[in-house]
Order: sequence, then structure tokens, then C-alpha cells
Amino acid sequence: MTNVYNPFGKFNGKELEYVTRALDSETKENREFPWVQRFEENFADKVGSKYAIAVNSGTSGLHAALYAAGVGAGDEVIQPATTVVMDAYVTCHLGAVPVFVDIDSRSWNIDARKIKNQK
Amino acid sequence: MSIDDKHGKFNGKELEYLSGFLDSESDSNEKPWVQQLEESVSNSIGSKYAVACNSGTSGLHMAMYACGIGPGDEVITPGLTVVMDAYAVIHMGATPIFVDVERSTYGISVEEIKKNITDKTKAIITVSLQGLSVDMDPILELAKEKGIVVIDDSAQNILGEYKGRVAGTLADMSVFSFENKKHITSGSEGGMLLTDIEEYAVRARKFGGIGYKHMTASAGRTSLALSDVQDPDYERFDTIGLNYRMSEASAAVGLAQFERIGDIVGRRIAVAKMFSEAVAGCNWIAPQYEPEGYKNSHYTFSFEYKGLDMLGISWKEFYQMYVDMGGDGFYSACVVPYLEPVFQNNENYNKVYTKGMCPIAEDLQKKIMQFKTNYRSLSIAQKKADILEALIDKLGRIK
Repeated sequence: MTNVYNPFGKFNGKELEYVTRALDSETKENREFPWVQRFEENFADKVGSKYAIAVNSGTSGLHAALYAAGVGAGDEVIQPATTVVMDAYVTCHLGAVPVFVDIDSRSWNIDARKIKNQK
Repeated sequence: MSIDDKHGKFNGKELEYLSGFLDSESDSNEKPWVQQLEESVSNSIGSKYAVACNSGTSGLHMAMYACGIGPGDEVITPGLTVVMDAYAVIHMGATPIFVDVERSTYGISVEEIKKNITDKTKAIITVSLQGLSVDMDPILELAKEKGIVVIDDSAQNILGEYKGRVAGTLADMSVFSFENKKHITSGSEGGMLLTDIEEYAVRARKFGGIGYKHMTASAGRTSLALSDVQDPDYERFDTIGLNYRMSEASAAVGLAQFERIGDIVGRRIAVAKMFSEAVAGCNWIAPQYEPEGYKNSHYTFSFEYKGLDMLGISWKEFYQMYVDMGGDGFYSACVVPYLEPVFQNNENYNKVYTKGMCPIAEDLQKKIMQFKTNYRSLSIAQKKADILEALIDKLGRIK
């Protein structure tokens, strides 16, 4: 098997080895233990969460999270003013309204005090 | 470089392309793999535009957005299909209207469509079940007259033909699936929306591409000069989209699979022929009818099983007999969408769906048997077909 091509490449760990194994479609390991499940289990163990659900993008994960929390039409979802639009997109897709709250000028993250002040 | 098992699913250039993708600093990544796959599909199938996405369901959702489906609209969809066609409609706030099918082909019935068209009807989703196109011309004619958009769910049909045209080019928009069990797969999930209409391609790409405003109908025109983007005043987004994009790794696998599409589909058709010969002349088995001028790409080989009425042997009993003789498990058709719990136990929908709405679909669904055609060894496939033939002879070919 060809190994790492470029030591400064992005995928210079076991990426090629795992991909090659995943492509060998008739093996026992591929029939019995999906790679998605492995990734989820490893991730959950590493970060210390009970559950991990792999999705195709961060946006999809946010969408799934808001659905899981039961967000729907008529609801409001608070989110920071400095972020990219996707947090608001998924709110809108569920029929809810994004409420943008200003940030803390030092950390640039959402300001907890300002969340409290939201009416 | 090759994969060990010659009967493996990925025994073309999959590994070569994926290795090229993983070699992140090399020239092999100069042109995005997604763009290569899109161009390859649109050139080969013969559609102006192809938009890759992460699943057929995503493609259907993109199609719904592209043609402007919204709250209050109705979308006609067949009673015999899986739920995802209706999901895409529901997510736009519109109402799916389930319409009955033709018993012989499983395809949506034009006469039933006519009965269900209202002022609210904005689109018709046709579904090419098991690899067979629906009778598209009368549907297109009707749609044109009424100003309705037609979307072909071609998840199970690639390289199938209808009156000299090829699947993926039959309707205003068509959607392929590259999920694991489909003719070809881009790893284990994937899909592609095809259209000749630029406006639809742009809207579909933006909706599935998180709404970046610079996106165009064709692939590859999505990169901007960094100096444009590296600017605090640069505004990026103009569409409330979702991220349905296909990944590069997925596209690399999909491209290697698509390069062999002729062989892969040809093998499925060859396997279907073996099963077709095994059931020939049996009067309690009615294979899906392939009308003159159609080519079934045989996602499966399927038939209506009439054994309960004619032999007193249930679907499940027949299944067990076949498996006991050494046959492989085969599939049933999915429960009709509107009788699934998702539509029965939810009060949020605009419409109440009841048993008996599509009597042919409901009856057929209980009787259809779908045999896999993706054997990668033709000799194994022939053995399975021989087992089916022996079982039929044992039970009596004519009753």
C-alpha cells in the first residue's frame, strides 16, 4: 500500500489505510462494524459525551439539534450576532425566529448578561 | 493499486482516485472531484446541469426549493414509493397528494393525476420504481398545459430508457441516488440533481450549498479571488439554504463508479434476465411489465406475487421456502407512505391520510417481491435464479 505521499499533506496519518480497508467491500469488518459507528464511538469516548451522532456538516448538526430540542413555529432561538449565517438558517428552517444578541467585546462570544436582558 | 476481492464493489479506480484526493498537496486535487463528477454525469447523461448532493432525498428537497414550492401548495406524488418524496414536500410547508399507480408497471397513473389536480397543484413527482421509467409523455403534456413542474425521482433508475430518451433527462428536474445499494454509490451516500433549466440549477445549488450568493448553475464557477472575500464588507449569502453538498472523498468514489456505469448497469440487467427466465410461464407471478420502447435498468428484478390467492402460500412463507432452499433474502416494497406512522400519528399536517386512498398501490405493496440484481458474480446469480426456478416448479408453475 502506498503510504503518505507528502509529509506536510493534510491526510498523513492512517487516512489512506482506513479508506483502503473501507473500500474492500466484502470483508468481515466492513459488514459488521460500520466506519460511521466507529467514528461516533471514538468521538464520544474522547470528548466524554454519552452519545455522538455523525452528520454530513455542522449546519446539518445544528438543524438536527434544534429539531431534537423541539424548536418549531412561533419559537425564538437566541444566538450571537457575530457568527456565520448557518445558525440562523436552521432556526428559520424550523419555522422559528432567530434573535440576535450582542457579544462580549473581550471574548467575542455571546454575552450572557445580554441574553438575560432579551425580552 | 487494487482492492483485494475482485468481486468487491469498489474494484475500479476508486482507490486510485481516493488516494489522489488524500494526497492533499498534489496536482490531483487541482480540479475539485465534485466538479469532475458533475461534469462527467451531465456530459454522459446529456443534461445541461448537474448538481451533486449528499443524498437523493437532499436532491428532492433542492428540487422542491428550486421550483418554488411553498406553504399552501400541493405536490402530486405516487402512492407506491418510499416516504422521502413526501418528506421533501412537507419540509417546504406544502402538502403531498398521493395518487394511485398502474398495476403492471408500478408507475404513477396519468388518469389518477388528472383527477387530483387542483388550483394548488404546483408539481408532480414521478418515481421510476425498480429502474423502470413512468409513462412520462402524457404527464409532461398535462403539466405543460397546467403550468406544473415535473420532477423525476430517478433514485432507482440510471441508464434506463423511455422512448429513446435516457433517465435523468425526462422531466424538468431529475434526481439520482448514489446510496449504498443503488446502481452506483459515492461511498455510501450521495445524489445528483439534473436539469436543463438554468434558474433551477442555480436555485438548487444555492439551497443545497448553504446559500452562497456567487453560486452558479454549472460547477467550477464557485471560487472567487481571495482578495474579494478577504474583506469585512464582503456579503456572502442570499438564500436560506442547507448544507447538502457532496464531499470530495465521496465524489472521488462516485467518479470511479460512474466511469464503469455501463458495465455495472449491464450486469444488473443480465442478472434480471436470469430471474426473468426463472419465473417465465408461471401464472401466479407477474413480473413488472416493461412496455415497448422502455429499458428497465433493473435496480431489482421484481414481480407481483399472487401465491396467497392461488396457492394459499403467504409472502413470508414463500420467502422462507426460497431462503431454505439456498436463495438470498429478497425485499418487499415499502409500506405505502401515507400509512406509515409518520403520516398517521402526526397532527401537524394539512391533510388526513386514510387507508384506501390508493387501492392498487396498497394491494400491490403487499404482493411485490424484489430480488437484488447487484450480484458481482454472475455464476452466483445464476445459482440463485436456478433455486427460484426449482421452487416454482416444485409448487407448480401453472395453477
